[in-house]
Amino acid sequence: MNLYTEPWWELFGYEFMREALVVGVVVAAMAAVLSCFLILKGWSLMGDAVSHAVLPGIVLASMLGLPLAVGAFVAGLGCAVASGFVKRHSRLKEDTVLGVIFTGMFGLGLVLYSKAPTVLHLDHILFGNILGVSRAQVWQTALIGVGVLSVVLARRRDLLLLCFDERHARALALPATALHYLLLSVLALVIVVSLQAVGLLLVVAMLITPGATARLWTDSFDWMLVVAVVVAVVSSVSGIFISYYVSGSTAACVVLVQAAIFLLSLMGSRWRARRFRGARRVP
Amino acid sequence: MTTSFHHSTGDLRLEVSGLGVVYANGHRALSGASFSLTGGTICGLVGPNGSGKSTLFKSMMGFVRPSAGVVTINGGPVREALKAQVVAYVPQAEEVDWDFPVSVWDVVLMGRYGAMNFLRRARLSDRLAVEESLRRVSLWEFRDRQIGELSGGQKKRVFLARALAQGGRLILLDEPFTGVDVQTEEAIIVLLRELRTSGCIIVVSTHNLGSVPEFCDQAVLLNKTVLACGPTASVFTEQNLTAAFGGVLRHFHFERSTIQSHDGRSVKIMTDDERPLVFGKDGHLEYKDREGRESLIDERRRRETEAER
Amino acid sequence: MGMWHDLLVPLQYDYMVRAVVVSGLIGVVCGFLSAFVTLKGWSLLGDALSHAVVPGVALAGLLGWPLAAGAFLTGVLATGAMALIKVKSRLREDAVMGIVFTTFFAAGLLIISLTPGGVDRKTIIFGNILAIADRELLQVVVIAVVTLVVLGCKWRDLMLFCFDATQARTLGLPVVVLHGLLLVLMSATVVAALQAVGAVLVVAMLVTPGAAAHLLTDRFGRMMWVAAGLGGGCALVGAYASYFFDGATGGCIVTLQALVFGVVFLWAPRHGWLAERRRARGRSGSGKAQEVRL
Repeated sequence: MNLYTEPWWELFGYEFMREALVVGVVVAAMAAVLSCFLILKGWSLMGDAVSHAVLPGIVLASMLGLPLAVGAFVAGLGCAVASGFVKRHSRLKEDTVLGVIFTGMFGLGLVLYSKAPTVLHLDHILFGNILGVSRAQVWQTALIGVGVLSVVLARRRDLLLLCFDERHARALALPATALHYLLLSVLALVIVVSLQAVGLLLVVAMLITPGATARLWTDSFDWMLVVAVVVAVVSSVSGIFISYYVSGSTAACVVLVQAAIFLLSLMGSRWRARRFRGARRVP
Repeated sequence: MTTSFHHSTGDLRLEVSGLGVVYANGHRALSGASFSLTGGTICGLVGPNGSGKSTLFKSMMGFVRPSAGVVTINGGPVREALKAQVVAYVPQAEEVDWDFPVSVWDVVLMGRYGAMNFLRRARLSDRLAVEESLRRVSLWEFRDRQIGELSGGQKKRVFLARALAQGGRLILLDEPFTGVDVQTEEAIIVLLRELRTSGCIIVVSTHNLGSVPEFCDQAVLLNKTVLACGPTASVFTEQNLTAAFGGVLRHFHFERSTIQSHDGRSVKIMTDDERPLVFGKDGHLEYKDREGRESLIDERRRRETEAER
Repeated sequence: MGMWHDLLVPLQYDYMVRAVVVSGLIGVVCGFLSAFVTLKGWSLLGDALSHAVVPGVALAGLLGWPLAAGAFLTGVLATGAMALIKVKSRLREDAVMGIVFTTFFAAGLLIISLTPGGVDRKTIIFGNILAIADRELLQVVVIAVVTLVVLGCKWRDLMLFCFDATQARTLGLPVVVLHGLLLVLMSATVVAALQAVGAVLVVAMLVTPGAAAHLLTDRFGRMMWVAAGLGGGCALVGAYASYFFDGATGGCIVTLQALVFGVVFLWAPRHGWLAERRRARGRSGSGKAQEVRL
């Protein structure tokens, strides 16, 4: 099974590997920063929903000859906006509404795909294809990544307040609605960019696990950002290497490494808590 | 008023002894809490937020495993009392999903589930119990309404009716008077007094201090443990309340009435914002009206005349 | 005449008739259950379960077990893992679910990608009711019948559990058992629905009919029947229509369900958006026409 025996450092000699690593690191960093906000806002399901909802946008865009990213972005944001609307005007719970709308959009995407005379690879959209990125995609990812990171990090205090206490944010006359949509747009954008790397079925893992892992390590939000990014980048790089050696799905490997780090952190935090409590009991 | 399927007679006894509860995250919610109640009585459970009121409720319903001590109902464990339909719970309004597609009738009928057969099909006796309970809280006309379509007071009464239909004899009410108009509050109190007469123990958790002396015979003052318990008048002293609430309460001292200079009486008011608790000069409790307090007034007069002699 | 003839073409094929009937059955069972799932607020749990069964299906395919057995095993494992992490960490429930189900799902995808001869990825992700094997068909029917019988006997208890678990407990009902029962029923139907619509879209079968039914009625019993009818009807028609859509059965069924939900959301007589707007306009238009609430 194991066809690849060269040592890992020699892999840097391959062009496709270098590009994959660049994309992997940028995507991981972006998703990790965002995951810290999503964890605190309780938007895990929102990440899941938006990531599935981009499918019809991609298929339609490819049918109409538009850039795929534009279609995906519009559809993802559309899902979030539509869910908010239905939630406000019905007696249904938010998770129910999200479930109805994102599955409906994903189903619609599949139906459209069955009728679309496109060269689209459904597999690549769903599962990612990081080892086959083009030079243009690397540049696109890097540019969007830098843009997203600088906007989010610059406004991180406002966004944090929005996640922590939206009413307080409104009371302070912060543009809460604008911030809300900023966060949603960033979410949709990150998902669009991550499709190439991990595919839309596993993007949501990148948007939850790093933030949750960091939450176990620290109570300070700034440190949470740092830890989340480190965890995500490490898992991304090692996941790419592992998937190369076992010739398995890259996205799955990245997500599993993240999960392993989460599990270790959880055990570590339990151990620390026990030691701390033990120390406190004996004054 | 009471019928055969309702509260069977015989003294109900609730005993909490040395109760301690520690949650999984290490938080110690209660320790060494002890008190006992014998039916019929209405007991106010009073304490600031986080004092362990809801933990005590959960212990009485057998939801938390005590780390120390025990709760017994009629001498047996809580689990047996639950099986025998002795414990009824009236939740806070916020705990209920008011959009749930059930009618008033459905909710009250649910109170009978524990006594129904495997398929939970309502028998005639169940229907009669539901009807009588609904009539007692004057909601019979509303039986087909979806529960979300009721007013705040009616919503509260639906869950009281459920407790009635269940025939519970230890009735736990969680903040029954929040979001309820004065009329409903009085109606609820009348109903609770009827239940007391039939031998039930009614435990009312509330942060609304002022209402407790109005209708509770006994009070349990809670802050991580039982600070005081017994007849309301003896529990509700300034020292006890200050010990339980610390700086949470507002104190107002009126050494002399500000309006009528000839009136020598001075009062002291303690409040946590809703209905104030009023103490007389020598530390006795003041009530809203004299009706029903004749014995107290007589006793006070007698003591005053004795003191004058 | 020609159009009618075209429309009847799918029913000339045995495999289509079989797929339509089985989908309908799965739709009815999921519909019944969706009434509980939406009211209990377990939509995300349904999503999590449907992803968590994937490694089980992949392993079962490798080892030659019945797919349902493997799926059920990992479904239960994932539920246990969620409960454990929830207790051991201070993370929010939705985050814990997200972590666990993506991990299980990733493990499933990795197993599939490592074993090219095993179960087809497309079958698991999108279902393949048109080519369902007899053995799987039997599993689906057994699951459906057992679920319907259990729901028929215990729906009142489960309703009380969803509405007010505290009350259920004070009545002496075995709440832990009811909780487990609902989870088991969900896992079982997820396994059955996997065949029809695939792992990604199972959650729609468990949420959308219930959501639509909740907007149409104020009684739980009626809501269950409406949800079952909608679920079954959409599954029947969707499976039939998939003949014209390149065999995208899951996509067709779920799209149809979402369309029906959209119609209901807009035009439901009392709880629809238009009814709400009409009421709001009536209220602001004439100050006296306020709802009288006693």
